[in-house]
Amino acid sequence: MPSLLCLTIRFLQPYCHGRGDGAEPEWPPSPLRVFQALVAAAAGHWNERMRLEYAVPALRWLEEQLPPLIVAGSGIRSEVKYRLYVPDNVADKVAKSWSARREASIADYRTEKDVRPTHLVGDTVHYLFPLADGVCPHFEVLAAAARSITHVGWGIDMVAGNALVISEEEAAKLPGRRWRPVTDSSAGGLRVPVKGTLNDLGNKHTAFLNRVTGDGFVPVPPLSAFKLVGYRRDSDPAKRPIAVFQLLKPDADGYLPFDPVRRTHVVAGMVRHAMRIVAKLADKPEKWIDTFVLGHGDGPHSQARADGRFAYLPLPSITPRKVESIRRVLVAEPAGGSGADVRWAVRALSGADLVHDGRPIGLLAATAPTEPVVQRYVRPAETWVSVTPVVLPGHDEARPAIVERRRLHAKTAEGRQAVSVHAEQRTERLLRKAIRQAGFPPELADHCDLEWRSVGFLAGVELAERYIVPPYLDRLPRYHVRITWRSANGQPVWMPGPVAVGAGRYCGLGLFAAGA
Amino acid sequence: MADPNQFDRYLAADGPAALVVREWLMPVEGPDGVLFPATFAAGDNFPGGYNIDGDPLGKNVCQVDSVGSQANRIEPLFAEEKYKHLIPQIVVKAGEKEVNILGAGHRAGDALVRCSELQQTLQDGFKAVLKGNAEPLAKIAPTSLVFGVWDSRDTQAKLPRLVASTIRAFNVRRLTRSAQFNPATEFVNDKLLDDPADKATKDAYAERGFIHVPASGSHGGVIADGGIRRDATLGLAALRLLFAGKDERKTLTLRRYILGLALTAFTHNPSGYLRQGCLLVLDPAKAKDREFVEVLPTGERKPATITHDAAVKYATEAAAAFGVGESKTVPFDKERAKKDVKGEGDTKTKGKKGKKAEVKVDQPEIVGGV
Repeated sequence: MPSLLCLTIRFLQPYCHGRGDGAEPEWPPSPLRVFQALVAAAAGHWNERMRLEYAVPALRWLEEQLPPLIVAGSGIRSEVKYRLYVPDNVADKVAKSWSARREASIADYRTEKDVRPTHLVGDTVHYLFPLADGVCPHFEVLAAAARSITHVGWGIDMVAGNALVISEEEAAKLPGRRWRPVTDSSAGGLRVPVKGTLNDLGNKHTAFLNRVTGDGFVPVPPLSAFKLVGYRRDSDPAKRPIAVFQLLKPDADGYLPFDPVRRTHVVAGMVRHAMRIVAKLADKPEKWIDTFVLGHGDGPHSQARADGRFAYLPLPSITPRKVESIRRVLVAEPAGGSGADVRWAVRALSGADLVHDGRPIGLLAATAPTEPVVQRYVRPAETWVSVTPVVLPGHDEARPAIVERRRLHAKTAEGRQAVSVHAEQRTERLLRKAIRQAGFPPELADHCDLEWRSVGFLAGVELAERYIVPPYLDRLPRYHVRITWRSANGQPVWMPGPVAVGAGRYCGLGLFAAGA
Repeated sequence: MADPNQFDRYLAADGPAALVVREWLMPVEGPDGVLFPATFAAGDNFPGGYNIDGDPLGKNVCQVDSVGSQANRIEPLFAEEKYKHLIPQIVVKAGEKEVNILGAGHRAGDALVRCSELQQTLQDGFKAVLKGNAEPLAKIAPTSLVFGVWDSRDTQAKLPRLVASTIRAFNVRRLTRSAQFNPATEFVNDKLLDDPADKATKDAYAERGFIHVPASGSHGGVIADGGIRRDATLGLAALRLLFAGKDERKTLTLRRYILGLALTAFTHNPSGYLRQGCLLVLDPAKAKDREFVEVLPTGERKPATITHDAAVKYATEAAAAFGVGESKTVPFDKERAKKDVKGEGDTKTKGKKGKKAEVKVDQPEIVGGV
């Protein structure tokens, strides 16, 4: 039966001050931080403060394990940091002054120290290491060391440590969010130990003890034997690799603009067609072209059922005044994609013709996603507003006129209220369903704040019903939507783009821009 | 006579990881009274003033007294009459000033103390710590083992703190206050002083109290709708990392001594007068919510009860068994300070001089007027 080494850190106060890269608050504590705490604990437990010996085999084994799954409560960064001024250890200077009957003060010798704790919801962090053959070869030593861990973070972050071997079933029941190591480079990185970390720590400790010499201060080299591993919570969406293309006139002497109200899905179709052409020229497999490029499958209207396909998202330019014409298109892989397909698309599509009704009308030119126009669609934000309407994945209660007729027929005020509430709830359910179908984690789909209406939230955006959509989507209701992403405990979530939701999300409908 | 074994289970390898106390306090004026938390200087995206942070559960939390500040209040109690027998009283005299090691910012690692005839003793003590024997350091500076120490100017030996305490207020409403200073007489109108011809002169008059000075909308304290709580932790796992070399009997005696000091500090209630406008007492309405528990490595929490008197009795017996080090008053040695070439402080870049760790806001005098 598979089992896991579970290393547990329990904070004895509801905050932690550990800092990660860039001196930013770090949560959860990185596996490297806990490994260092374990090394220090081993040195204390077996009273080997100058040179570790007893626990070395156990710690060498641990440093070579795969990055652990982390199960932790939420950590909320302080909104602002505050500044302390701590006295330097130079009271001899002050005392010299006193000895000369002068009035120096230690207040004149202080160093700034910025404090920005992470507030904790839940006090426990578990680090789960898979065990081959279900056996932890150095369990007794690791457990004894774990129970001697006293601090993780700063010296005021007191903890209680423990270690157990548990089953996968028991691991599944541990309360907290799951942070999984991923290969996606967009995920936030945590430092993890590697082979050689223990040696590096020993060298650093020796250097630290000898940093003050008769000749002055000798800087201690930073730890270098570790690696950075991306970690993502189960509730965090995976980033979508993207490529962006400008839509240019045939002679490339200017943009080829398109009206987003009438031509969004047409532009998406042209780009998809161009992608098909270059994929055939590159001898890509037919099945891949059919599903990934063209999005064909055995679903309704020959659409694919799964999300393994390119999305073609025409981007209306958003100026401070209003939403304007489409001049660019964004091509996105599915969430969690490796990026290989969009990198190929950049090479293959750049310079390709845009064809409409059998004749070339423009061409595509790859451009950087760092352009400000593009960034409005991809930069992380808490609030997103629709630029093109969201087409619901089903029929909501009824057209507004019908809802209004039902209200009028209701006999009481409560009855009229109930009609309205029922209609709204139905629409809300469909919107949340659309968000889940777009691949966002259920927690975020269930807890985001939603507003919807026919009128757009941005200047220059038309009424939702005026947008021309593919025929198979025409009878479905559509709305403009504003989403404010929240976690299950109400905390804001900064969502990276692109965000596209609803039944037309692969052809530019339900496209969102980051709120101002 | 206290039983010397009574807390040995806290020193056993399978003992609890920590003792934790959570107790509710209130301003002496009452639960809805105004209290004045610590203030902090502005800088780098922090506007200054009270440290009030958003709480993960949607409320807010305000720091009333930090861990460091609480430690600075607790440690000096070992110089008081009731407790001074528990530790050696080490005092350094420089000019007309005397500094007890209990008040030295860096404790046994403080430059003031190392620049005295105690330098060798302290260095030997820290070196012994690195070699696995904390007994010599406990003979001269036992509270450094309780509150933590770093010998940053010499051996670099470090010991973590065993006792940490902090006071926080929840769901606070921030208040402002305005006041006006009115001079004793109308110096300008009464022709005692010339009309200020420029802003610099006017500012000088204001600085010296010669003209009216309004102060509007400044910090006015907070009201803690969610209550005020002191959280204290005694790290038993950390205490069990203290050894007297390989001698098990001496190690047990050392640990009992340090445990006695730690329990004395831990059970002593340092609240009371924190600063002007912040006088806190226990909240009797929330006495039943007081939590004093042993926290096991598994996370299990078990009720515990140790009164302060019982802690002091135990500490007294443990100190007698350990043998409290000799109290000394020694002069600051200027020559040692000159010869001390071991770098300065923790060698981080120097901050600005003249800044205070916490800006204490005194209530302004209201002289006549508003």
